[in-house]
Amino acid sequence: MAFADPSDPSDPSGPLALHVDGISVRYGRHPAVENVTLELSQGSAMALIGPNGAGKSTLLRAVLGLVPLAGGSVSVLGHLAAEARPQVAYVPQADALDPQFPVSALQVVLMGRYRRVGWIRRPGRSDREAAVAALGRVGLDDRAGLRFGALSAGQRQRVLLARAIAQGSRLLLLDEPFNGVDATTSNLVVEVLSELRAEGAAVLMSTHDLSVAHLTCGEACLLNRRQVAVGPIDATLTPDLLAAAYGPQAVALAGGATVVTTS
Amino acid sequence: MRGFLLDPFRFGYMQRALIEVVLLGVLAGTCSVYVLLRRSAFASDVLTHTIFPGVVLAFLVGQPLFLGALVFGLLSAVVLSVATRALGADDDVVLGVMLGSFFSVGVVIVSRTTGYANDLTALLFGRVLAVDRAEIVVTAVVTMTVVGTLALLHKELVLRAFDPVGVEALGYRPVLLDLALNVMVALVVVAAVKAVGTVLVIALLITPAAAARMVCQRLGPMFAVSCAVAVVCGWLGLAVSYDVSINHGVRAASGASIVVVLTAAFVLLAALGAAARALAARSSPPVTTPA
Amino acid sequence: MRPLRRLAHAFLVPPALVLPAAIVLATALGCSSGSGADAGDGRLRVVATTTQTADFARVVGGEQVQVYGVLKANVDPHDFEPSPADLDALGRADVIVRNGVGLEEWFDEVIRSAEAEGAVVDASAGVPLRRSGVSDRGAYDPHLWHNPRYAMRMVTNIESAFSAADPPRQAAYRDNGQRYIAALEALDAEVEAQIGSLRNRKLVTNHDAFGYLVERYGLEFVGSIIPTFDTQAELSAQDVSALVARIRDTGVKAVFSESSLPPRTAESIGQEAGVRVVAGDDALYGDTLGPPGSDGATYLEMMRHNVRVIVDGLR
Repeated sequence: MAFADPSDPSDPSGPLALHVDGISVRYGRHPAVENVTLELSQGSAMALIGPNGAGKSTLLRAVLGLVPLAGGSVSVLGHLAAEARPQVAYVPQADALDPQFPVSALQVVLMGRYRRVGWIRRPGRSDREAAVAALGRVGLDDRAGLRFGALSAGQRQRVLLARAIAQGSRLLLLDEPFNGVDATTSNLVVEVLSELRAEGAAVLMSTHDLSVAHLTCGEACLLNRRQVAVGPIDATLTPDLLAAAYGPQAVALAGGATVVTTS
Repeated sequence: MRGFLLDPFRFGYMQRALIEVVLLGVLAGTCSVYVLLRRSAFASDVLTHTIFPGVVLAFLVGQPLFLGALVFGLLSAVVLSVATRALGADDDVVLGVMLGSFFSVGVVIVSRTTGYANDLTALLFGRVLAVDRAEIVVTAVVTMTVVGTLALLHKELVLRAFDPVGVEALGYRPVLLDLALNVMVALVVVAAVKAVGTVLVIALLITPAAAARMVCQRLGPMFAVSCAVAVVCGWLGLAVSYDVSINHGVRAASGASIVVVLTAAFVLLAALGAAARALAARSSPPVTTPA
Repeated sequence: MRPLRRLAHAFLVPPALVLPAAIVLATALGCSSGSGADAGDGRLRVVATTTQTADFARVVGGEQVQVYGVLKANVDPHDFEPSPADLDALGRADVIVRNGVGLEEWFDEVIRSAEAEGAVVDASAGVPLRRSGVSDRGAYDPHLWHNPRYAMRMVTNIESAFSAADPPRQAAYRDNGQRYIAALEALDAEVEAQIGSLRNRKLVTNHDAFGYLVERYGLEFVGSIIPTFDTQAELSAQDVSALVARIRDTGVKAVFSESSLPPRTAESIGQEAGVRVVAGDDALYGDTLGPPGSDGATYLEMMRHNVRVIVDGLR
């Protein structure tokens, strides 16, 4: 799955996968995100770090165009967010979905292809092949026929990642993909994400897990409604900045590392 | 037994009732699966009440009641879809308000007139034995329209029910999909008014899929079982109400008999499903799916 | 092309559904519809809608007819659901007797559905009908049988219909008819005398069912709880106080409730106005006859019961 891009004379590596420019989002009068700016090139990965309620999910939704902006703009691959939706794949948390729903893992992955298939028509052979391949990449091709809810939490998360892969998009947004998953899933997801990056996709991922963030992402954005810091991950996830973002939740360990407790 | 199942249908009016009920079985059986998946049982129930003033108004101006039901059905579907989205949280509140307000407007209008009672009773509880050819044609057209539309929108409707955020992230507009389903439900109510009436049609929209869910884990079988349950129970309900009327002199409203049989089917399938699961759990040890 | 196949798939009712329907229809078409009717005993098959017309039909027909009454005693005829037994009977009937004047609103639809081929006789044909003072849908009063002279007309209509449908037994039908009409004459004279003896003739009933009785015998109708001929309307608060005031002002002695209607409203208005409420076993028979074994099981008994109750109440 190559993400070849038509040449853009101004920038040989192609337009930015994502450019968030000073956006603010408000729910009623309550500000959820204030004045956040970040840039993501194709082939790179950024971690969105912040405590609960910091606005990480809101930011992701703003990139998807699901919430109105109170200020600023978002562009994906040079287009407005709303127009570029097919190019953005969203991987939600698996526990948001009903495990009793009568769909198989394969059917869930196929959902990522629906836009390509279009209205009225059914997914064809190439769509099925793409879905099976995507499941294979996350190590679940032998469980394609099982009911989605019959899988473990980690496996369900992987299915959702496979759905995003099947969509063939160049920007992937992941909402806490490592929450409550087992080690196998964790490792697989890290591996797949780096493969996707190598193929030219960009990844924006919200997470609590600092060590995983270091493993997968080259950049980070520290968020607590306002932007605390953004840039290369080592420069951003410093003890001082983490303390600024997390407050009392950040605990400095001997040896210079900082951990974040979930309150 | 053979006589019980076949005898009633020697007569024209019973044959017509049976055809109507078979058509409705396919119609409601299909639609009810989407209602179940989307968890919009209450919204569908509200629709059955909001159609009531439409029926009353049609009656007052001398138009066919089906037309009044249709207009208000579509109007309600639109208001429902827009209001639940625009007013955000607590769909139940919006729905409850709609149910109460529409229905009471209907009652107020009705209380200002006299002599409506009989037609209204038929509307509330159905009169399947008086179905005529024109009504069968209407039901057939509605069945083809609704089943056809649902088939064409199938994958999007399932996606919408399964992943409300994901469906939007993929670029669809959930409001439109909800509107489509609500319109289909309104059409089912309109078609079923003659057979079971507005009060009982909600049973047709919920029970078949609920029964199927007890024994099916996948969508394909669910549709088949849901339709089969609806059709068979319709047939049995008619046969039962005929038998008790002719052979035992007991009046059992045919529409309500169908609903009673449907409920029995649900209980039966629920028991079967539970038994099957218990047997399966006992015969094979729990499999922990390795990560 | 795939969408078309998808559509075709959707319309194709699975074999499991077609099979039972096919079996049923095949069997149905194989048998002749409505045949194998019972009573090959040569009696005229009559279906009467109301209990009153059923009673008249039995009297006129005697042993020569088999009467199936659709409405049962104490069932409100304005609000009725046909059952398979009713439709079966209608489908097989030679003569169908209806009260007419819009009493059986459901009649036309049911007749059509049953594919009834028997001769339909409107018992009210030729009777001068009274109109309602309140504006109503179908504004003629259908309770014409409360005037025995009109009941005679109904009997005559029924007798003509039987004679036309069953000429060989004409003589018997005419005979029965004449005898019954004589009995109705006697009833008429009796009631006239009894009501004639009343000084206070102010009548308040549950619904406006007794207009023809009032008209024939000179009673004074003050009002009814339900202000119309059918039983589904409700008094507004204004109407209730107006009625209570009228009851007090005009010196009404009693409020009469009816056998086929709940007495609650009558009782509360009676209480409000401080007058006696006649209910329970003494309730009047407004819309129907009483069940077998009751005080109003036949027309003659019913009329005598009503008159006795009214006279006792207003004495």
